[in-house]
Amino acid sequence: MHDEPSWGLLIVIYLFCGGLSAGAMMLSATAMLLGRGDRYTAIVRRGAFLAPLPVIAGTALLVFDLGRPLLFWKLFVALRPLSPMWIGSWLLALFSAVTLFYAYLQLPARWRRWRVPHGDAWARRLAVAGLPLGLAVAVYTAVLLGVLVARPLWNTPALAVLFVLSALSSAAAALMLITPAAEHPALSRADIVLIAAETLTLGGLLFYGVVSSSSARHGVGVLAAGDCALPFWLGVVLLGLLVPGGIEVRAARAHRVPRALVTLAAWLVLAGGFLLRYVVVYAGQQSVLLRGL
Amino acid sequence: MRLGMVVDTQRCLHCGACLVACKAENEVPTGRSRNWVAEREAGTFPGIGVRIEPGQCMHCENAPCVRVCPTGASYVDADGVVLLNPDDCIGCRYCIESCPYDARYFDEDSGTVDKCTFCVHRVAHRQQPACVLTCPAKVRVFGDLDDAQAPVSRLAAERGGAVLKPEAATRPKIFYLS
Repeated sequence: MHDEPSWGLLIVIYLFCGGLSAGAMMLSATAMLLGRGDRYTAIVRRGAFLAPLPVIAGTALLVFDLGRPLLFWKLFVALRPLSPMWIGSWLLALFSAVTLFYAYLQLPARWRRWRVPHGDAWARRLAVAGLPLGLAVAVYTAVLLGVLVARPLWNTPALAVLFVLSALSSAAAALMLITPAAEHPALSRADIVLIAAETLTLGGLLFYGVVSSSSARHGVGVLAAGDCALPFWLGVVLLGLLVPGGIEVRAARAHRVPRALVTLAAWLVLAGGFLLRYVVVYAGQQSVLLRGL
Repeated sequence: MRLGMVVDTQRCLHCGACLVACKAENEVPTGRSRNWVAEREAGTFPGIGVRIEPGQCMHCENAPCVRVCPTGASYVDADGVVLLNPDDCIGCRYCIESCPYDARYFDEDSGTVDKCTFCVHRVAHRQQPACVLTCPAKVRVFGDLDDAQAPVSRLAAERGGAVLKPEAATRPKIFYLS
């Protein structure tokens, strides 16, 4: 019996940060393993530097959001393999450690205080480990919500697909802002595919809701026609997906697109990724399991 | 022992005595409540009416709150009562999100979650839960569902106990008589 949502802005920021880090790790590792050495040096490097930062900040917010932050260690002394939050806590700890070490190995040699023997081999190993770990973190941010039958808007596996695509797209956009222009075409090509896939997934999620159970219909109704309708359609769909997708397609087809417009597209993707989690978290808590099918 | 309850909605006057009794017995914080009385539309036009429906934690046998709790603070005791150990609760509020009945609340003062306990502290002394004892219309009947002779089991058997939101598949132990 409560009117205020139990999970608010801090949780939204944390879910976005977790996704951004997961995406950065996945893109950096993919670039390293595909690039065979130095084809995508900037994506590998900057992706590695970006990866640990948001997730650690987001985890700090998550702990701060607890009713009793000083007892967060209780997450790590229990054995709760069916609790997504328990699994997620361990995933975040492991992922943070891997991304930190991975980023350290990308630092210029003169900045590294400790010499790591066979540093390049370790970097590749961490990339191989970090790729599935990053995917797991991105999936977990959606599964956390998705397992709850009580919240029909969240209670679909499609949410995991949506959040993974959005995490990768947000990370590609962030990397566009911090890498030299030479490597933008690769990021841009990836982002076009990701934005298209994310738009289709979102469409599928809405359609699924409309034509399945009354609870699911009510769930997507809260998102698409409730308090969050304007930020959803205008912010997430138009300004977060269609507009930046259009700009990137034009840029990829060798139209002369001003640099500022590409930068704007990247910022729009990031804002859209954040807003997606905002509306899903808030609208999801307004969705309730209805009586009857 | 499997503690449960049947609720005879037709007897309910919506007087609120169960709400007051629970708040007083369990020192529930201001602005919070462990039980409620809802008024719902019942039937279809033209045979339409209002159903007065008291509710609280359903003490589900398949409790999502217990499953998602990351520390094990939420648990089911030997009598099938869903309880929460405040020492282990870190206030993540995942259980609140997981409950299809919205039966849990967050207590800002303690930083932990709380809810109906079936008044286990009273049951231990063979007392009825406060809401059951207080009800002037005898809406609630409480007891051991494993005991076929107990009034709670007999009423559920004779008058077909339905649960709320069966589609949540949580197997509640509060049954609403038809």
